[in-house]
Amino acid sequence: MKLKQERPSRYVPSRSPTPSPSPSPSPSPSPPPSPVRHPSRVWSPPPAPPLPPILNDTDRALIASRMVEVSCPFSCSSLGGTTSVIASRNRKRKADDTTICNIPTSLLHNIFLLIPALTLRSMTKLVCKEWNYIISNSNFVKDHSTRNASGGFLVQKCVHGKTSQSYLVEIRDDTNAVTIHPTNLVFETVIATSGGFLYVKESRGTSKLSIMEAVSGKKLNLPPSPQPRAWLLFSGFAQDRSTGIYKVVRLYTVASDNFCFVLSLGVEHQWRPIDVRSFYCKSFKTMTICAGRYVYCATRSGSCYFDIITFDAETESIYYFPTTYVKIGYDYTLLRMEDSLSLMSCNRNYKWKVWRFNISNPHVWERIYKIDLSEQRLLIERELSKGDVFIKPIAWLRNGELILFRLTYPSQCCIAYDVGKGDSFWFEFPDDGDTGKTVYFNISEIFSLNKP
Amino acid sequence: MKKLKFIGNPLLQSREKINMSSDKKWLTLKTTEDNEEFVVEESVAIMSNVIKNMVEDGCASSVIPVPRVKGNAMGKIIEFCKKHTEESDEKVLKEFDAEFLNLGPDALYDLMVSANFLEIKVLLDSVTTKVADMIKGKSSEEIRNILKIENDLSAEEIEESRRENCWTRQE
Repeated sequence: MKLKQERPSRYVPSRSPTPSPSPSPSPSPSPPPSPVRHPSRVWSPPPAPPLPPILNDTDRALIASRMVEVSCPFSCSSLGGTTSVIASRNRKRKADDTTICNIPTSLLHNIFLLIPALTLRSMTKLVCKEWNYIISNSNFVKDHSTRNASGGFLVQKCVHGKTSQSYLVEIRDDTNAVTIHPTNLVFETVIATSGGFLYVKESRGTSKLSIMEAVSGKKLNLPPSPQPRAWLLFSGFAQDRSTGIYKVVRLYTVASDNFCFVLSLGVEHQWRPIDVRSFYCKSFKTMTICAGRYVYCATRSGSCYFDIITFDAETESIYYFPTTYVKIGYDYTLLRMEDSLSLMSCNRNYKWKVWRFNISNPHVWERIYKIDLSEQRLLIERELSKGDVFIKPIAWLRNGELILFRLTYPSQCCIAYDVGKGDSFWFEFPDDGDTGKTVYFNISEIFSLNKP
Repeated sequence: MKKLKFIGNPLLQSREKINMSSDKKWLTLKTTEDNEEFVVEESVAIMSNVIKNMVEDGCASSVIPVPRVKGNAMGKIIEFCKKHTEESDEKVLKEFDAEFLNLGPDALYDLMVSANFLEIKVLLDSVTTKVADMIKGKSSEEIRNILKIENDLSAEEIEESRRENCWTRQE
């Protein structure tokens, strides 16, 4: 269902031409048409002192194992197609050939695909060498994470502005059981999250940036960021799906000139400037959401114009989509939903409208859901808190099916609502005694088996 | 000694009568490992892709030799296929599957390997799910006990895995 936006986008800043896509109703994999590029003045970096080798051996290994496809001597088949006939293996068979410990690898592969990532990682891997090998194989990891988007996310608890404790939360798909694990990740602010990784600023006051893996805490330090004389508009990271390389991007702007730097993780040691068209950015109030291949930066001006600046990791280009006025209520939240951006608007009455931004049809926000939680409101007010309380959406989990809300008071409680089934449940975080403000970050698939 | 198993109408006594009934085609599946023969309707037997292809390609005579599958596994498979061709009610089938798969790990293994060989997707999926459920809630020690697997991980590998998962609570 489209919104009332029949008029083509009139709200075009005069100085820059908009990308004029011929309405191509092609499905998602096709990239949006390339924008008109101004031959803008290319910013050349000042003669930099020779950089020390940034990646040490651990970091190198960290990235190398992610980038290089491990060639698997065993054949792995997926459950979707027809199952393969038993592959004969040159393995020393144990005495009794027909016991279950001799399951052929392809069958083991299929079994492991059904087991949640957390169990696989902590228990099943430790059973024997062969199982360890199968689970660590990157083909299997890819297969598994495409099948099982576990609804996991990271919670960072802040007390008086200082980060105190982070938790990793997992919600089981079938039983909706919630497990909360405290972590010992140390960082100051999370700039962006995507695919199980956090892009963080390490500690207050420094400009040390790094990418951390949420589950194990291993991190990769980034080279110091470039400092052109301009404002940092946004920074994020995305994955080029065709090569599997993660790229970090920083976009600076001053007047109408834009300077953009990209760093390919594991491949480059220095920020590389790329040529972007100039566009006039109306405001600096931005919100960055990294979703798979794209980094979306939504800028807000006035009350409800959302212009979307997008970085495409595959083509390494920046697109600018001015949006026409979206008719919405008072509170609005931008959230990542699977690989796209969603907007939720609410009139403080426990009813939300949900829109999605579809990159292949960028001038229209598609309305997808209408969520009504008025029944739950009574329950909440009666049981969880006395008096008026509002809930704010914080994350979409399970491939866009489960929406998580946070209560404004008490702030430890969360409500999850399944859009497909219409049922909801709530849980709360352990109260360590400090009633600070709790800040949430969503990372989907944090319990993926991606070994750093 | 050849054992002949009739899987079909128990009232029919002789083999000739089965072969002469015109509306249903019957096939004989013979497990070459232990020389057991099973007579089944064609509609039941073609739940297996392998047999289906053979029949469609016309290279199946009335007796089909089936290697690598044991007699008792074959019997169970045929029972499964029969039930699934007869019943179409999901609930009934689910209950049947739960009962049917209540077997020890060795029997499950036989079933799984045979279903994989004969390419019976439904059965393979059910058995795989059952085994996955068996593994899901258990610690590595318990898994090893149930499935009788040798622990050949060296101490360092175990230590490294434990370090990686240092944020989980110790089980």
